[in-house]
Amino acid sequence: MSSFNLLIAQKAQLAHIYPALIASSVINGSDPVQPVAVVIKEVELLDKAVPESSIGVQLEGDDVVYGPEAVLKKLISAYPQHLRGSQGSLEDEWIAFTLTRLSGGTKDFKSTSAALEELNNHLTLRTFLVGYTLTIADISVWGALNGNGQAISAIKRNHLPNLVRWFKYIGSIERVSTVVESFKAEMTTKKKAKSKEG
Amino acid sequence: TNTIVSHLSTLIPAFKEDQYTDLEKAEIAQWLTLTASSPIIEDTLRLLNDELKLRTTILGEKPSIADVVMYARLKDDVAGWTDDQRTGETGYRNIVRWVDFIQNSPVFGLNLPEGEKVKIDPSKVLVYLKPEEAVK
Repeated sequence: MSSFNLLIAQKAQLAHIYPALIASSVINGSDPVQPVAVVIKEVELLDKAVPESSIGVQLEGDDVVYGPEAVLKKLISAYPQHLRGSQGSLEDEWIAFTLTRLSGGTKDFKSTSAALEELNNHLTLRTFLVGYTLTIADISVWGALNGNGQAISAIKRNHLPNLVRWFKYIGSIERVSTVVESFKAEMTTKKKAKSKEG
Repeated sequence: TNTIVSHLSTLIPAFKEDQYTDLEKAEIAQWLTLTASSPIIEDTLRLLNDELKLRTTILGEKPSIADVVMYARLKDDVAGWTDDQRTGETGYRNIVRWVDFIQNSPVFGLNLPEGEKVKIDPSKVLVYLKPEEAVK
């Protein structure tokens, strides 16, 4: 029995859901109980009255909490030992960076590339965004970048070497990349099933 | 000394031989040979710095005995570098970053006391390099 349900609307923007999806995978990978169950719903919004409800999390017996930021905060407060390093306030700054600069739904190429350049500079002498281990900071930023087409094509151009190196390294951590791959695969299967029905 | 190094590496479970491809073993051997001279020549440092531009560890993402042995061989050099040699326009910035990773990452389990680490401040970068043109 899972203690948490992570609810995802199938139509949600990937940059909004990958951070929480990866965080759940990291939690499940370090906890034998595997406390987070991922549930994908074939809807645009989980609650039509709540605009940010493309993603939600529900603790057993509790109300659902909606929105990318609230979901991350909920997961962190329940499992700090799996998601936090020793510098929580710096990690929070990168969560804010993710929400405002990378997944805010902006299609403005200039602002995305400014954010990528900032990341590239920050990673000059760093292997992780904060400290020397994987934290929610890396998980959030890596997840949002992975769900952002502009960012992916910029990374593929290889002109921001520190960002490219970090992106590859974080992606090499099994619990990070496999969950994204299997999510993509599941989506493809669902789409195929749908087109057969139609 | 590389014979001793390869022998020792077989005794450390984290670096068990069978997890590396032949290509990776060859890369490890090559770097151990290149950095065996003391002092390490500038060409080697330049080569290593270029190599580490897109690599977190010597092999890329995978840790190996080369990271640990080369850290031991390079740390005193790096400790003596000026800010300009570290992060100036042509500084060995990637080597500095890699050294800081090896000495602090739990992956390698070196557990060095603070006093034995090379003093590196990751927020102190003299020159941020401009984005490179796309590589074809």
